[in-house]
Amino acid sequence: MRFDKPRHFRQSMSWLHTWAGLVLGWLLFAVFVTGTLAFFRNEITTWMQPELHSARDDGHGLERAIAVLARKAPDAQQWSINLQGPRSPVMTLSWREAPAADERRSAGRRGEEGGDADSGLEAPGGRGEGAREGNRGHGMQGEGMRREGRRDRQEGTRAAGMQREGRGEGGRSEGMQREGMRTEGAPRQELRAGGEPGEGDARPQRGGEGREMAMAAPQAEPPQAAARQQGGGGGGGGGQQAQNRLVMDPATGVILQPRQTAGGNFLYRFHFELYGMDRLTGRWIVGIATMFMFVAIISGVIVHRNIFKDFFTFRPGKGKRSWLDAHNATGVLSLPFHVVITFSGLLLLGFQLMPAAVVTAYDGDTRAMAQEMRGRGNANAPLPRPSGEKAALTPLTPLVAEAEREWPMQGVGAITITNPGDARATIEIRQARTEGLSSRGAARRLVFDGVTGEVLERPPVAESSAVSSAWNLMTALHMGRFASSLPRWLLFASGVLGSLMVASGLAMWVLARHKDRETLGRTPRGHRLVEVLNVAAVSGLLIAIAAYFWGNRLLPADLAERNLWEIRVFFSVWVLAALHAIVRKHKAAWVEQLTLAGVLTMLLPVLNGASGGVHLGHSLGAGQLQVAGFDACALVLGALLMFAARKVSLHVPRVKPGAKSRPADASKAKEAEAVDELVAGLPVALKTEEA
Amino acid sequence: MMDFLVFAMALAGFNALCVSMERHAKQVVGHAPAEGRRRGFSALGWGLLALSLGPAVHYHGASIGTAVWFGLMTVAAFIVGLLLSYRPRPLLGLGGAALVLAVALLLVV
Repeated sequence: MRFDKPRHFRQSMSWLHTWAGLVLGWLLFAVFVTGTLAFFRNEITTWMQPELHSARDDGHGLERAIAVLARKAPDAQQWSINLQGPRSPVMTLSWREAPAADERRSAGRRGEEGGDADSGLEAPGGRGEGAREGNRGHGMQGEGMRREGRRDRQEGTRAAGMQREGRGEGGRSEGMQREGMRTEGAPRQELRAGGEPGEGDARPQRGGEGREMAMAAPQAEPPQAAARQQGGGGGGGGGQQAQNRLVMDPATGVILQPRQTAGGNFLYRFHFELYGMDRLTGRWIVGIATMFMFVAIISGVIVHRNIFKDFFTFRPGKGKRSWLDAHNATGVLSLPFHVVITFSGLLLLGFQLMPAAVVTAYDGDTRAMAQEMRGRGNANAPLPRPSGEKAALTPLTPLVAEAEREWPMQGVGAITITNPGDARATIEIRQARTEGLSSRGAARRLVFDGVTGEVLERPPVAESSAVSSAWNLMTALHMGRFASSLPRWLLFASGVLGSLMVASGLAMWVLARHKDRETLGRTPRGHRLVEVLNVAAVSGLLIAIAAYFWGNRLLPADLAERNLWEIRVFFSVWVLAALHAIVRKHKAAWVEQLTLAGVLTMLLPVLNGASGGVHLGHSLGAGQLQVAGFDACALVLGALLMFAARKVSLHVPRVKPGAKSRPADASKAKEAEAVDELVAGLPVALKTEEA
Repeated sequence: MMDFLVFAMALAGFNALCVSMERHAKQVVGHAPAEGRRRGFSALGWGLLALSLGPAVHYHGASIGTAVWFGLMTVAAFIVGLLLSYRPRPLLGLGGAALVLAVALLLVV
């Protein structure tokens, strides 16, 4: 496009849409795909820990959990049970040991205040939810999250605070595991100190150390080194088994030992922080890409003049026209999703992209802001002291049933028992999900007397202000935390459509310039670059993700730093795919890569059955929907990829005699002319650039 | 079940909307219906879409209900669009059938 001549508004917007979409489109595709998968990250983590697949629920898990806790931690001050549910087949048990008398005050309600780690610093509203989801993601993440969450508040000072985890260096994204390890190794004392605002000085230096490391560590530092440092910093926690956290099969009471895995959390973290760089840098890059996405969406709506008339229109088999139709359909059909997910994504990164508000109003103290946003001042209220009298704990099952009656839609997520075995025991039951989007983080609770089983209180849910309601609404939508299984699948479906939209847009950039290449008689270097990047970013990423799951099963289960190896598999395969895209011709590269991705993905259920997991026939029959859902999805998506590969391979472009170009996918000449001005107008921009 | 009702209403709504459009009506029925009938279909379609918000909000609450509503509409519209491209004929009665099924299920269960 030339800027020295007046253009029509639509033409300018068309130019903007093309280039805003292209420049970071490859990154956006990766963000969309991994983000879409992240809606199911707990399920993915479960799949990646086949040791958990055979866990069942027979309705008597609570009694077994209490028995296990009574055996393992008879003197604990507080027991926590995260129930199995639609997103996790196992129960997670954890406890905190009774502290020395003078330290008692700080224990607080962990479930409520912890666990912000998975939403990062930008989502201070999400404590309760975060903690709960984290805990339900069995493995070791839950604990780590809570831990990190507390630390957030403790040392979360301005932007640097975001690096607090010392995860800025190479090995950061597999973090969950490492956080987990650290927590395991860490004496509880420190945990409490970390969580107590009044004891800032007593806070272990590790926090500070972690931050320094994040700033100072060279980016090239090998992840293992980082891990070692972390381990050392973490109080020598290393690879020890958790001392205060267990994963239990509800039907047998057996303590399970899941393998180490980067799990769904790697994909989740990658979608907003990338990998292998400082997490701040990663967020900046993704933030900028998100802004481009927003620009592309708005300009796309403007350019697309017949939104209603062409709403259902898809004309297959017509080359460029079909691609444009597909791009429009995937964009328009889930337009509400695209707008919300992009805008809320910007909001989530907002404290980093636009820190002015925090800097002025709170003097850069993000912790203060987070506390005010939460609107809960008493999160660190002291636990009630035990009376010293022994008394038997009331059975939990009737209490849970009562809570279920009270919240039929939300269900019960977690149970916290304070002073178990004491006459003053209390039992707190929390909702699995909140009732609305604006009240995120404010799950309802029921507090029972631990001996008589009477309801002691129904703590009111804190009213949130209009501003924080709006914030909660958007962020909850983005993260799908509210979602029971149907909304979660709907979000996933929209995410898939969004990924298709980005991919078709990228492909169209190449297609729209087919005529140029024919006229020119060769493929300009810029075109070739886009071709290669398209293949590497789209099919290459899909191969890499499939390989990541293969790696999860093929690497030895007891391999040290297993989670890092999984990530290495992911990136090595991605790099190989990119090399392949460079050496192969464009069409061949697409066909081969799509086929490979399809085959790898479709065989995942077979791999699952063959490598210790529960195979599809069994998991469906036994109602293990987390595992069955993953396998079924892999089958369908793999089949679609193979179908796409076949389509591309069958396509015979009509190349004008004498043209030396290798068109990716070309349309018949007469259709090319009939294509509307959007596509036809695009090459103008390019010609100007080439000139 | 309530979710299926919302989905059926959205499906029927989009179905009616696409029949109300000249080009698509030709694909489904074979010829373009009269102007008046197309208007009727259009009103029916928009009406059903708007009404389907009702059960969604009733069942899930205002905020989550709206999100679910948008999500189900996306899926419904996607299905209608796919059928229209590859197998337009079933669209003659699909929406109605889904609606009847949804109401029947709601009454029976």
